[in-house]
Amino acid sequence: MNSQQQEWLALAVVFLVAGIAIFRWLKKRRQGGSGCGSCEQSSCTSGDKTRP
Amino acid sequence: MTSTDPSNLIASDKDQNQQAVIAVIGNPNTGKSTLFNLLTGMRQKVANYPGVTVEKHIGELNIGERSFQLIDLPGTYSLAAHSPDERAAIDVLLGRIADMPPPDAVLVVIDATNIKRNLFVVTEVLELGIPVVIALNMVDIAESQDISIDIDALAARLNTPVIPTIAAATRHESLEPLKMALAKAVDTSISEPWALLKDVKKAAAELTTDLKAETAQTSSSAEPIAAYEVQRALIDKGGEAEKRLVEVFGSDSSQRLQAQRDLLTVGQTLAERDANERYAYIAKTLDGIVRAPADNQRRSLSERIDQIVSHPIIGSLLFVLVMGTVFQAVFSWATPLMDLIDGAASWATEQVYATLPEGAIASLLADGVVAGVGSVIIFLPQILILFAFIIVLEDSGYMARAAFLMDRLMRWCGLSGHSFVPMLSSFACAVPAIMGTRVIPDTRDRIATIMAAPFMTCSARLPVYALLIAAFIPQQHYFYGLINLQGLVLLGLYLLGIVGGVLTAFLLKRTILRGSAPTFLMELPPYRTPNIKSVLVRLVERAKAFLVRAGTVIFFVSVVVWSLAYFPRSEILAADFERQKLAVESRVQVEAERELAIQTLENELSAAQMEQSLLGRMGKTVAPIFKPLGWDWKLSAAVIASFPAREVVIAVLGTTYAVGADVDEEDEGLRDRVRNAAWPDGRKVFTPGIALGLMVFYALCLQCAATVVVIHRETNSWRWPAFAWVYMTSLGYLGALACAQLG
Repeated sequence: MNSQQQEWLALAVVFLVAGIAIFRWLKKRRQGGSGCGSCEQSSCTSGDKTRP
Repeated sequence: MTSTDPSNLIASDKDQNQQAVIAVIGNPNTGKSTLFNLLTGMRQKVANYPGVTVEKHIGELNIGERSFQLIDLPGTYSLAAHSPDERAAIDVLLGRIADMPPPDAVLVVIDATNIKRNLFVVTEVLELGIPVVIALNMVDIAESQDISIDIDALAARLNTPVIPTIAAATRHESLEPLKMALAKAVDTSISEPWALLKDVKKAAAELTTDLKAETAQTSSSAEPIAAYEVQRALIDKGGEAEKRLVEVFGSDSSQRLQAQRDLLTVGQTLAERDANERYAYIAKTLDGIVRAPADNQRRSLSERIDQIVSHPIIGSLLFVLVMGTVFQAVFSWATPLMDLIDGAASWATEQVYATLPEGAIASLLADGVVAGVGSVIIFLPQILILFAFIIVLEDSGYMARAAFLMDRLMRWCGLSGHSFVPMLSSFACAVPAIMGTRVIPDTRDRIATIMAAPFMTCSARLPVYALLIAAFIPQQHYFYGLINLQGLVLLGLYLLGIVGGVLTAFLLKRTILRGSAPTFLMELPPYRTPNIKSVLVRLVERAKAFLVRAGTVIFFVSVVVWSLAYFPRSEILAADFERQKLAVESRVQVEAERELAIQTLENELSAAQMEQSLLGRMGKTVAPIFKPLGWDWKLSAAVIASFPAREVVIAVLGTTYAVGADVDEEDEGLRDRVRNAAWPDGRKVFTPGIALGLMVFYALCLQCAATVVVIHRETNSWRWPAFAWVYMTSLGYLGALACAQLG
């Protein structure tokens, strides 16, 4: 694969990733997600996710 | 439901097509949600109550062939609503939530070890006229504390089924009696609801009729108000129920309420009379039914510990010591694990370059994915250590004492102890901290806390500080090596965040959020040994959620930032590089020197490519804004790219300063490059003042899209997130400007 082809492939991957991310975000918005599903749970210590 | 009441007959007809609804209510920490999870299993959905950010947990409960809708309400000590959580609970019970019928039965979960206080809300729910089932939870713990309860006698006195349950019940069979009682309760009707203060109930009913009749004459669109709400409005002076009444019937209703209150009580407020009579009724109900060791024996250990821990001076010193240990542990214990992850990321980068031919794909994988995601995953050990401490401190009961101690400090800036736990949580991440502010009853306090929380040094600020401190602060030790200058600067940056947050809350509470000093009432639970399994389960949950985020959001950001920094590629620059490379290869004979020269050329090429990439052009466009701060276009581009997530700056700086792959804050190359970065005329970019300014900028600026979104969600407006962003960014800019000008 020459460098030109590689660049096209990389761009395709970028657009694919961006597309998936936007799709997931829109899906979450449609579901009206809140709390556990859509929050940044990484640092949440709560069992019921409504308490700190 | 079968009833002679016409309104109930309508409900009964509806029930044939619709699932019966059972609401689950109880004090906080009674195991209510655990019981809800056990009853519904995975058949749950979570949404928000309309207009507020209180989560609505709805599950499906199957009993035999019948299916019921179970609603887990937020924990509450009483039906007198003060916080959004409590308001939502009462709205459900009164059938005020759109698309949700009023419950056909209520399951009240009470803690067998604290039965007296838990029965308070039971007596209030009994007055609603909805069939009630009481789950007497944690009977096993009560037994271990030598508390014996005559359950049948309690049920008889309350005229309500009481079903004993076990805190950590794992077998569904143990819940069969509870399910049977619930199924039976749904089919029960209550013709005459029980009432404690009969005169208040009668007065409320009369006032309701009067108000409704008067409103009907003047307006045809009066909102229906239940007599129970008028009763609550009478008891809770100035509370939510009164506010609602004023909204519906006008300010005149407030005076009418007060006139009724004056008639109903002498020498004490109606709220005091209500509480006194309710507790007297509870004491009478429990007389001879509950046998427990004297309080002074049972709680002696907790009380003895509290004498030290809650002491104004000793307790405060202990608190500083505990927090000091936590932060020390976060930094020192995590290092070996972080080095391991760092090593793994470097190895992955090497493997990518060794396996794939040089070009866009290898760069995307190594510089984009591995460098980007790796630079975030590296914080996993720190986050887990911090949360292990927080969970253990919470479960042991210490956190409640810490909040109590901090109440004094919080009061100074116009907040209360309620704000302490959210503030503490924001040292890890502002997002859950802002969500945690839901426990703060007063809206003004809650918004002041939300505005202050993003100032605390979150885990994403750490790598930025680590890189800049290592690059610009000399490694000097004082007091026989006990105090390290770099550590001192880090502590200073932490303090700067705290001061920023506290001053923000102070100013807001004295200007636009002015209000009376909040009251802070909080239950001090007895000290308990944390359950290792429970701690581990929650930690694993945290780790999983963090890794999922790194694999989704951070992955996406990394790939996009990489593409902006990589494209478009200049063919002319690449061809020029090839020519120079050939020249070096033919000119330099010594292999080591040749490799070094080629490496230098490669770095120069990537820097030049970067300069004309989209990110480079963006950096050059915004550079004039940051010129007064002494930043060059590379730094401006990195800062702009890090507005969605501040930790991205490391990866972007790595690329802009042309080090290439696997860059993180431990990278000697990046550190040296940043230190030696120069303007075209040879002047150093980073003077001490500018470096300090950059750190101050990161300490004060709101560079986190997730925080902005969560502020919007929690305040239900774009005004507050916009204010927070503009305010914090301006503060960061001014701080950096001051440092650059003074340095």
